[in-house]
Amino acid sequence: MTPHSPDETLLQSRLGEAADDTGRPLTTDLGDLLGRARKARRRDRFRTAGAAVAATAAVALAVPLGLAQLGSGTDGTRVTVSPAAVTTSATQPTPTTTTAAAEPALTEAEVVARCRTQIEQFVVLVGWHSGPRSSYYVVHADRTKYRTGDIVAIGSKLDEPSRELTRLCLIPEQGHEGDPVPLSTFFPAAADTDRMLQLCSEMVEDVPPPGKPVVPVADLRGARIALQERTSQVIQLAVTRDDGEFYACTLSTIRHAPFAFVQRGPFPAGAELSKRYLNATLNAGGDGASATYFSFGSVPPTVAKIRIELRNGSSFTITPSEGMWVAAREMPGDPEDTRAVFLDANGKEILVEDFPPASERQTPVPLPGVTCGPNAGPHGC
Amino acid sequence: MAQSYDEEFTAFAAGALPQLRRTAYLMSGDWHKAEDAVQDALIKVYRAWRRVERQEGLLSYARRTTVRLLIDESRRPWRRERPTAGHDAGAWVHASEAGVLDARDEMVRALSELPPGRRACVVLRYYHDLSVADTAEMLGVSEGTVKSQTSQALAALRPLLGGAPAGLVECALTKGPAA
Repeated sequence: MTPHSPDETLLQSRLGEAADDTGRPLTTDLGDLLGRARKARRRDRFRTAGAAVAATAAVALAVPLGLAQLGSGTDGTRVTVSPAAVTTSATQPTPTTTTAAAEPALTEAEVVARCRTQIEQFVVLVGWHSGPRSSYYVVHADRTKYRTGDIVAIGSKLDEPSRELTRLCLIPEQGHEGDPVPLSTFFPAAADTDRMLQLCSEMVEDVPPPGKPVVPVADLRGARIALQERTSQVIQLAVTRDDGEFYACTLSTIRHAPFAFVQRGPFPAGAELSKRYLNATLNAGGDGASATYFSFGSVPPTVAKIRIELRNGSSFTITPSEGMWVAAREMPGDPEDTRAVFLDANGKEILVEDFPPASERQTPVPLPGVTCGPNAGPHGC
Repeated sequence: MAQSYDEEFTAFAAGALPQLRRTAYLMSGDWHKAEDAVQDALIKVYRAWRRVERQEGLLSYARRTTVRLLIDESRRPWRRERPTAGHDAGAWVHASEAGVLDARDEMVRALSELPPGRRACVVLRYYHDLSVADTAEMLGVSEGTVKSQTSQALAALRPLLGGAPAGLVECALTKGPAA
């Protein structure tokens, strides 16, 4: 026990009072927790055992996926497919949807009715554990008409009236509401651009600042995926629309992250690269085995490369395209603090940003030639 | 993992959950999020059971994992849940039955205004009574970082504590490892 001054004792006492959980019963079902733990353990084992065959699978699947998808395409599209991602796609093929063109749009009640079973299974599928809810609604019902085979976001209220949870559903055919849906439905293959754009369009926007309404998510159906990088658990996209706006979208199976659907944009709005260059450092593998780093941003033409440096000395380099860049890498070890170094065409450092900054205050440092646009978001200009 | 390990894990989880959740609540200000984070941490414990049991205490590992998960979470500008009214920060404030913010809420709200690293330093140093060295090890940072973060956190908390803890700052800067 550390000796304490009266002041420290006071603080200690206040913390003890604040953490008083009287009247806050635990809601954890230990049996359910054990089941999830076992499942996670099985995934670990599968991953280890599968590593040896992943490279083979990648070669075998390169042709079916389309060689044109790999490397630099003539349209400027850059797609990076990791062996793990290919393996994931191969082992869990996305089911072919049977959307009938002539089918009339479903009502919100019909969508909810068809999706009820699935979204309650979705909890199991992705490892969320908030359990079924009594009241569901279609998040974007005012904007989008849905038919069989579409991805739809279903909202539900949580216990606390100020909070809600959103889950995804692949609208099943009538009579097939209980059919299993593979995880790959929500983590599409690299070539399945329509599905990825549907997923991107269906999710919720960031938590708004106090007093601000929730910002509607842009509808990105029909947009173009300009950049794509992926690991076994994250797909990082940069998407452009005909109106010239750019968006980022992150599809992720990482626990505690949204299943998909982070959008930040329009892209070129920000001078605050510190808010945009690196969005998360996530522990993907757990147990200290691996971490997934993913990020995106917009840069002026003066930036030719972006080098992401990890504290352990390893690094990787990203090449921007069309003023944007995306990155997704799985690295061994625990997540670490990172540094982004922006380089010009001669390799000269233009800007260095730490994440998180030493002070943990994300003080933005604008790049020369970039100014705040009119679409400043809640995370900066 | 054999059946006996499952039983051991379940027993460990049952015992550790309440205290880990209290720590997580101080870190997050949200009982739901706190319990979610503890569940995630316990799953990590299960996955690393043999190694953790051999190399360090299970509870220590679980606490470290919980705190780090919450730090990562709070740095991430996106969540799987979103509030329909107001900001997440609203979850920090709960009115008492009389409709008045009580001292507990005031403390949690003050913590919520600290950056996650500083918040973790305060919780580990003064709620768990860990030394600077142990706190540094748990957070994966240097002892100097713990000292400076704690000092800055305490300066920010000073108004809440009646302006008295000026001495706390000095204390945080000078206190050595636990005896």
